[in-house]
Amino acid sequence: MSQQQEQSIKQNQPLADASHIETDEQRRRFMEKFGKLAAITPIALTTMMSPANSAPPRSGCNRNGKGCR
Amino acid sequence: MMTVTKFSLNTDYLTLFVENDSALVFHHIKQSLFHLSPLSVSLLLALDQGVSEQQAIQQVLKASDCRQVDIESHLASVSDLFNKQPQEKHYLAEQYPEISRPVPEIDSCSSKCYCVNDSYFVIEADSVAFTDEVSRLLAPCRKHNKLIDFYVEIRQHSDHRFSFSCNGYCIEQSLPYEQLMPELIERMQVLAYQKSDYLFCFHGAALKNSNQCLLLPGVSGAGKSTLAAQLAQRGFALYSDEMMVLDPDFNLISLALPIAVKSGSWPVLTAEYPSLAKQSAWRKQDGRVVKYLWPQQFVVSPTPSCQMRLINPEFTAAEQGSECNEGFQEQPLTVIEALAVLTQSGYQVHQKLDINLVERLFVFLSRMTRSRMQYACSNSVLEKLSS
Repeated sequence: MSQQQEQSIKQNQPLADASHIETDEQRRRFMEKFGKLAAITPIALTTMMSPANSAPPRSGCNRNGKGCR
Repeated sequence: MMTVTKFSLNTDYLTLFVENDSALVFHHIKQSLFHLSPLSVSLLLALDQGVSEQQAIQQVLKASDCRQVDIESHLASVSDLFNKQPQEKHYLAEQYPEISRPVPEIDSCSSKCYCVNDSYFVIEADSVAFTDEVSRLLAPCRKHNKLIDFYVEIRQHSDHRFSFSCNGYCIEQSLPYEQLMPELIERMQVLAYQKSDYLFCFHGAALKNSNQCLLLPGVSGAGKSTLAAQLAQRGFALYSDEMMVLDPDFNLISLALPIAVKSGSWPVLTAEYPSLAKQSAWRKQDGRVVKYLWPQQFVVSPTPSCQMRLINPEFTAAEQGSECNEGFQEQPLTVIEALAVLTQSGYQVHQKLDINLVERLFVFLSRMTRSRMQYACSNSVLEKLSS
């Protein structure tokens, strides 16, 4: 971990690594890279974190409440 | 080393994070993080240029070997990412109601007052048997204080049926006796961390020894509590067997309450915890039967930062006749995989989730060793962690 990263954590600041997909060429390269993988990977878009599924964790329940009474 | 790279998009409320072949997108308005499959990334990048859906489909068709029908059927869910409607629910909505309710005035709490991470609970029950059980089990956290945070009342209202309330708020109206203790301890765990200045709580066990802090996230039944109880006999102090709570500096918070051991683990743990045989058995709401035991030592938080290690335990019973160590496997987890494990098991965020906080979470995860350990008996894991 770099000193800059450590400093960012201590100062509660985000990492200064914001890249922008600026050019059509860069966007095309990304689309190609993920496009090639798309045919061999299950199609999914899942919510990882959201106000809708943030709740006190409970043993025996998953985050959707399955397994709870 | 930070392996996650951030890309801003033309759509200013979406930020893309890429790690190898895996990607997430953060929706700033919805304060939500989504895991994208490669096809979702391709569609997102196409739509982000502002082209029509038909043009986006054509671009993705050109760049991939996917069938048009698959792309079309997935288009709606990716298009939804461009919806600017905020979520109706807020992250703070899941704070338990009794946190903000006034504590009723009570006379004295000397014998019924218990402390968990600076939160003081008075527990009153009209059942003599349950009062005795609480008094015995929670003796290590009995501590008197004039000011209390939570007044828990457990009242019997029919044969073997009890109501359970806290600060005058009714939590349960008709609990059977055998569910009282698990309900009480789980409520105390949550209230103790929700009362604190926490940032995130993830479901799992957390421990510390002189070398490292261990995070053991996982779904119920993965073996977290059993492993935590065994590690507690091998030089590890416990933060909690159920809640991995992080404060605003990403330090772990300790919740000193007994470990809930499910019936399947009693034979494994009885040799190391002989007192387990004498403990009362209780039933959780999901039907599993548990006994409680205290580890030798809890971490006194806050503690200075330590080298973090995340292990996602996956216990699978050994096949008959096979050697115990045969099933052991360890696979590294990427930052995104580790975050998926953490969130799948259950989590709570205490404040607005913004891009700054998401990045800090990635940095926190990128600093630690991350792996999944599949095992048929815990000896192989214990050996690995002791080496």
